[in-house]
Formats: sequence, structure tokens, C-alpha cells
Amino acid sequence: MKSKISFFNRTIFKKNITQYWPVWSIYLFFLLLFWPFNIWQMMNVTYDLEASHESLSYYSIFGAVSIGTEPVIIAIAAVVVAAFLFSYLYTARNTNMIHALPVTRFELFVTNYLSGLVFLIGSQTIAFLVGVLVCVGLKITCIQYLFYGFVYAAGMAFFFYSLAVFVAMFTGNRMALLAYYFIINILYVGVVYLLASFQAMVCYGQVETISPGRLAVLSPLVYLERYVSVSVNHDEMGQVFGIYMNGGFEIGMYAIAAIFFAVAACLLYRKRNLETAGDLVSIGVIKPIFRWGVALCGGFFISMFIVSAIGDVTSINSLYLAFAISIAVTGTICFFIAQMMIEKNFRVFKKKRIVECASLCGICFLVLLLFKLDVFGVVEYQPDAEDIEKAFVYLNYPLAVDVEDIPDLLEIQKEVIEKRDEYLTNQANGNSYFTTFRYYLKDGSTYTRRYPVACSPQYLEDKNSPVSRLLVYETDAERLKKKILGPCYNDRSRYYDGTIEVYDENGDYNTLHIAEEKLGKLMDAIEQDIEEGNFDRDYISGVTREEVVRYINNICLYYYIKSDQDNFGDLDYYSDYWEIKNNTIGEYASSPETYITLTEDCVHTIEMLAQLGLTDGTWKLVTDLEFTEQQGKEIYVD
Amino acid sequence: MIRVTNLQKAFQGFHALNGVDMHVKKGAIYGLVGPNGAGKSTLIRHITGVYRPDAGDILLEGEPVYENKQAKEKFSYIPDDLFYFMQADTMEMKRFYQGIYREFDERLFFRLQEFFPGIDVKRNIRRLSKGMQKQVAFWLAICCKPKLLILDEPVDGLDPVMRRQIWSILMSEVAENQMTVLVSSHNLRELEDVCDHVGIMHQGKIMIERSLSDLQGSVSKIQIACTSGAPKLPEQFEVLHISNTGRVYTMIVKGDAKLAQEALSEDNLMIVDVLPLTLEEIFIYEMGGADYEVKDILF
Repeated sequence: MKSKISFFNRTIFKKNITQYWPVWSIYLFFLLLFWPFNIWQMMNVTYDLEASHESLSYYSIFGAVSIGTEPVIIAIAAVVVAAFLFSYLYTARNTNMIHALPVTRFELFVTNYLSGLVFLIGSQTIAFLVGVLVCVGLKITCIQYLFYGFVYAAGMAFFFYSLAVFVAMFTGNRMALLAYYFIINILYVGVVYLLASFQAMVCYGQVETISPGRLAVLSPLVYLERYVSVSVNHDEMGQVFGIYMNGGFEIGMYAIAAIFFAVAACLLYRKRNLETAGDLVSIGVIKPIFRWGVALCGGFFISMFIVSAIGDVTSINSLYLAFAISIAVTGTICFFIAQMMIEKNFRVFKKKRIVECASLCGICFLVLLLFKLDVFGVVEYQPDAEDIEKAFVYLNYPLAVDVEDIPDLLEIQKEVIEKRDEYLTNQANGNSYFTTFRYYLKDGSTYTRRYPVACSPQYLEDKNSPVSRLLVYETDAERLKKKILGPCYNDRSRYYDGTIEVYDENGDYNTLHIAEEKLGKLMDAIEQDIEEGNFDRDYISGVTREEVVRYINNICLYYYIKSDQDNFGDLDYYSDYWEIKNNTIGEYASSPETYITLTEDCVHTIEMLAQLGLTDGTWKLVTDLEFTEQQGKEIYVD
Repeated sequence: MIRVTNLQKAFQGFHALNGVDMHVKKGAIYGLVGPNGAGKSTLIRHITGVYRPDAGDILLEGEPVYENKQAKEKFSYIPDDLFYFMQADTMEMKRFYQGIYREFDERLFFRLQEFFPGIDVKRNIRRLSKGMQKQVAFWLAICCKPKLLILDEPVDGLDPVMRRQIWSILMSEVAENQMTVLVSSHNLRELEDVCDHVGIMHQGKIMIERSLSDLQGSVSKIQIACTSGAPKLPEQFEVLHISNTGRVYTMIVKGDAKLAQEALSEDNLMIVDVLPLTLEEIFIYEMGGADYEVKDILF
């Protein structure tokens, strides 16, 4: 039977389906596990016996959609499918046989491209439909979320597959396709990371934390991993009422890009020189890009590894020198390895290539020099206050800075930058404390700098020094209340539970429940202690508050937060504000807790604990020293 | 049937085809011969529309072949390095070719099955021997009912009986259906038996393209037994090679063999004998003239 449509060949399509059945059937098998089976399993095998049918339904769909829309899984499936369907381009005898048939390249491309979409989206459709049947059978009513999940998954499959096919046109080697596809998916962010790491080594204040911002869109897998999320919606009482899916717009944009990739891939295929089967790079103009890319990325990466391994390169000048030598050597090696891979030949040391490599080294030296002179203004650069959406200063913990205080923070940072030489000397003498300034900008990017802020007694006594100003800011009562009690400490109705660990003379402990009616009184006492400055402060505590006696007992308070309320209780150095912001109304951020550590100075709280009967003659607060004595051994208490 | 004009192709600066001109008549069996690296396979991949030429034209019955479905339907191609789909058996490949070629003759397929008794049509082709895989390729190619059959090193791996059988099937197709055959091979002995036209390729060009009878008539081997000294020919004859064993001289001469024999007879020679040249010998001498390193294998 011959196809009557000139752009689609039914025989080749049929051949794809029958020849590559293991590819699509394995993907389908996993999708059936992820979706219908997962739903059935969660509905039938639950450990939460009190959960309502509605609640279970939401969690079941949430589980299925979460894993079904996982970008990494879809990205892997897409490239595997593309690698199989276009594998005939990667061996000479296969490509010669297929292209000698009476089929045009356009017809071949469209047929194979559509076959891949059928493998991916067809499997997803089957899994979705079976999922719907399972939902109907289990009387799950929130099927619409399964459909949204299917649309998300199909959109991502469309994009990743089109991208994989596009990448497939640049090479004549299947393993290279997999490598290029992986690289292109993380390229932009990877390069930003490399640059950030490089800057962190050679530029004052720079950190390795990457902030690619909206341009991270150029690294699709990273971007989708960041923006595609599924969470369960809770009402204020913690009841599930829906599923929140994030990233639909991003998937839509990528789906549009997928059309471009598919068309571009088709055009490239029609122009492709088939004699490149087996070659690492099948398009001539890409070869220098490949060479230079491998040399630069490889050279920088290995050099950073080598320079950091040397370890004792303390002076900035010797650091630059070490880097320059290393990049010249490793970059050259990478350059010629890339050329050997292109030519499939070890004899690549030709005059033309040697000159090219020398130019590359020259450019690297120039870039190093420009960084050393801070021509790009990397060290001096600070964003404008009005461009900052959220600011944090990282002491022992992330301290959120109010919008009106951002200009002050920028001023403090500016002074730290200006005193770079002085601070670096202090750092060398061990009289500094690394402090991070992180700004989340309105354009979606993140700005982070980390400085060794001088904190010797001379600076602590100077009320205008950055360290003193930061200490004053940190110990502001309102700010401490937010940090210690939680962001909604003003609204007591949100606090629904609490616990405290108390110890007896033998060192045995008991966790006592703090009833809701006692919570208010305890929180009043804590607030009073905060206002009187009785609570420990964290910033450079080792330097300033060595004499403080701390209790090992933890008070834990549980509360609900509103969907639009900032919650940075769990934020640490590596947390991402955008992620937490996106998840604020999600499952995990809806009912956080706060842990409170007392010192001997917290007299009001200690008294209130006794009044409330939470401590008595038997069960009491224990200092770390007492506890150590009780245990008869050294313990470490943070 | 095939007309190639000024075909050029370079691979990363290396000129694999350097202005090839070639003409294959309808119904001819055209042997494409040439040393390794002459560009035979590259030329065939252009004729089959696999490679895109840098310059020049390739016409199949007047139609350009590159990216032309109609033109490609006219030929079947059996490459030197065969490819079959993974896990495919002969029947599956037959169904595939049946879907691709409109003229595929299913009845002929089953009729020809008796000529390939050793082939288990339900067995994975990749598990068949190389010779059997070649037989399957011929079987399927003939069933496509092509106007042109393009063969690149076609009988490698086939036993003599099967070679003869396949050539016999091909010859009957040529006789009955005016099928044209373009065959590239190193087995000049075999080509000599089946080809009526020959093209000799060297360094990306067709050096000589003639009918086999013309080619064999233009070069001859003359053996002379001399009483004294070496034989000499007038200047109008080009002596491609001369060697001797004692007083017996062997000369390879370009030009009319009869006239050469007459010219030599006038001299003081004992015996003059003209022997026919095989295609292999013609190839060797022609290539020798084109700086091809064959000196060591000459007698």
C-alpha cells in the first residue's frame, strides 16, 4: 500500500512502529505506572486512615501528575526516541540504503518526526485515557487536573522531541546526539555557572551561586525544572481543595519554539551532506564553534579545578598567573582533542590550527586581564534599589530586609566594596565574618555577593562600620520577632499547636504538648524577652556573645500562613526565593513551624513556662553544660 | 539511461569526483572499473541520489535524480555494504519494499523463491550468512522491477553457483525487459563475461568509456621470438609495455594489431603471435599509463 500523501510515507511509519516497538512500549509502560497505576495504588494503599475520599483523590492525582510532568523524564524519553528514529543518519550503510529509496528527504523527515511524536504523545494519550478510566472506576471527580497534566506532558514532549531532532541534524553520531542534547539543555546555565565560578575565584565578592535570570530560558531543562511544579492547594484550615500547577505559560512558549526547531531541523536535513554519517559534527560551520566551545569550556573548567586544587594561591596576582598558565595548557589540549574528534585523526597539528589555537589562548589572556582590571565593573556593580524585589543579608541565617531598608543595605555593601583591600587584609588575619548580600531582582534574576566583613573589636566599636550597622539591623525587635516567632506572629489565631522538650535529672527527656490556650501567653512572654534584648543574636555570635548560656530545650510552634504571606522560615543559604515564593500556597509551605532556643537571659519566657506548668521540679530546662555533665561526655551544641 | 555530466564532489577539500562524464545506454550492462579510491562508490552514490553533487548533472532518462522520487523509482540499488532493518526477516523486508516501490512484483517474488532455496524467509536476515544476505538483496531488487539496477561490488561473498545463477537471472531481465545494469566491481574476469560497456575510473574521472569489444580491439598483446636484438615497431604504435624471457618478447601495443603484426613480420623475427587481452590486462595497462602503481604486478 502506498501513501497518497506526498509528505508522509505510511510504509516507513509502519516500519518505525514495528521496528522500534520496544522504545514506545517501555515509555508507555512507565507512563501507565506513573499515571493510572499510581492513582489506583494511592487510592487503595494509604496509611492515612482518616483521610477523606476527596482528599485522597487530590493526592492521588497530584502524585500522578507530579511524576507525569517531570521534565527530566520527558526530556530523556524524547532524546531516546529521536536517537532511534533518526539513527539511519548515523551509519553510512543505513543512510545510503534509506536515501537511495524513492522517498524524498522531506517525506522521510516528516514521517520520522511524526513517528516520534506518536511514540511520545501517543503513549501519553493512552496512559491519560487509562488514567481517566481508573479515576471513573474509583469515583475520582477531579479528573480535570489529570488532563492539565497530560497537556503539560504533551507540550514538553513536543518541545523536547523537536529540540532533540534539531540537535540530531548537527551530528552524524548517536552518542554525540545524546551528549549535544544534554549540553544544549544546560548550556547557558552551565556557561553562567562557569563564569560565576571563575569570577568567584578572581573577583572580590563574587560567589559561585548562579543567577541566570530569565535568560535561563535558553537552558530548557533547567528552566522547566525550575518553573514546572505541581502542588496541592490547602485552605486556611489545611483542607485540600485543589491542585495548583505552575509553568503552563513557559511550556506554551517552549511549544512555540518547538515549531521553529522542527522547521529548522527539516531545512537542515534537506541540506545535510549524507557523507557525514558517523561524524561528530555534520555541519561545516559548526566545527570551529565546537572546537572553540570545547577548548573554552574544557579549559576553564579544568583550570578552575587545578587552581582550586593548588589551594594556597592566596595573592590575587599569583591566582591570575596560575589561571593563565593553566588555561593556556588545558585549553590547548582541549582544542586539539576536539579537532581530533572532528577529523577522526590524530594528525591535527597543522599550521592553520596552531595559529587558531594561539589566537584562542590570546583571547583567554585578554579576558583574564580585563577581569583583573575589572573593566566589566563586576566588583563595583550594585543593582538599583527600585529594581530589587526582595533583599536578604545572610548572617548565620537569612535575614529578610524590608523594602524601605534596601537603600541602607546597598550603602553598607558599597562601603564593604570600597574597603576591599582593608577587608582582604583582615580576612587574612582571621578577623572577618563572611556575609552574603542577596537581591532577587524584579526581572527574575538573582544578585549575590559574599564579602569578608571585618569584625575585629575596632570595627565593632565603630558604630558606623558595616558590622555594627548590620548588628543593629539584626537586633531590631520587630525583625527578631518575625525570625523567632514566624512571619505572622501578630496574628495569634494562626498558631495552632506547640511542643517543648523538657529534661529530668537523669537526662531523660519528655516532649510536652503546649495547648492552644497556653500558646498566647507563652508568645507574649517571648515577645517581651525579645523587646528587652534577652534573646541570642546570631550574627558573628562567636565573637560577640561567647558568655551567653543557652538551653538545649527546643520550643516548637506550629502555625498556618496565608497564601500571599512571605514564609522564609525554612530558607537557608542555598534556598531560592523564587522557588519558595512559587510554592508558598503549596502543600509544604502551608503549615510551617518555628524552633526557639532560649538563653538564661530569657527570664520572662522561663517564668511563663513554669507558670504554665510546662517546667517544674521534675521536668526542667537544661543548659548545654548541665546536659554534658549529665551525659558524662562531650556533646556539641550549636 | 544515465547521463552524468561534469560531476564534481569534494570532501573537506579532497576532490573525490573531478568532472565525471558518463553515459550508460538503455539495456546496457555497464561495468564501472577502477582502482581503490578512484571514486566508483562515490559516483554510484550520486547516481542513486544519496549524495548531493557540488557541480554537474546526473540525469536518469532525462530527469535529475537528486531528491526526485519519480526518478528514484526507476532503479534498485544493491550497495557493497548491505543494510537490513534490525530484527527484520525476508518477508518483512519484502513488505517494506512492496510499500516503497509501486512496481514491486509479489508474484515474481514467490516465483523466484525456488532459486534461493537456502534462505529461510522467516529468519532474521542479519543472522543469515553474508552470501545469503546478498542473495536476499538481489531477490528483492529484481522484484522491484527496476529499469535500472545499480550494483556496487555485487557478487562478493557469493559462491560460484549462486553467482552464475544470479547473473543468469539478471541477463534474462536485461533481455526480456530491457533492464539496464550498472555494475561496479573489482572482479574484472566476471565483468568481462557479462558487460557490454566498460568505464574505467581513475582519480575521480572516467578515463575511458567504450564498448568492451572496442576496448579489447584497441590494445593487443604480441609475443615475438627474435633471433637477435629487441623487436621494434614504427612510431605510430604506442607500446604500453615490453618484457622478455630470453629471446621471447611480450609487447602490449595500442593500435591496430594486424598492422603491428605486419610491421613486425618485416623485421628479422622468427615467430609473431597476437593474443587477445583480458579486461583485467587492459585495466592494468591503462592504469599503468595513468601512473597507477602496477609495475610490480606486470609479468
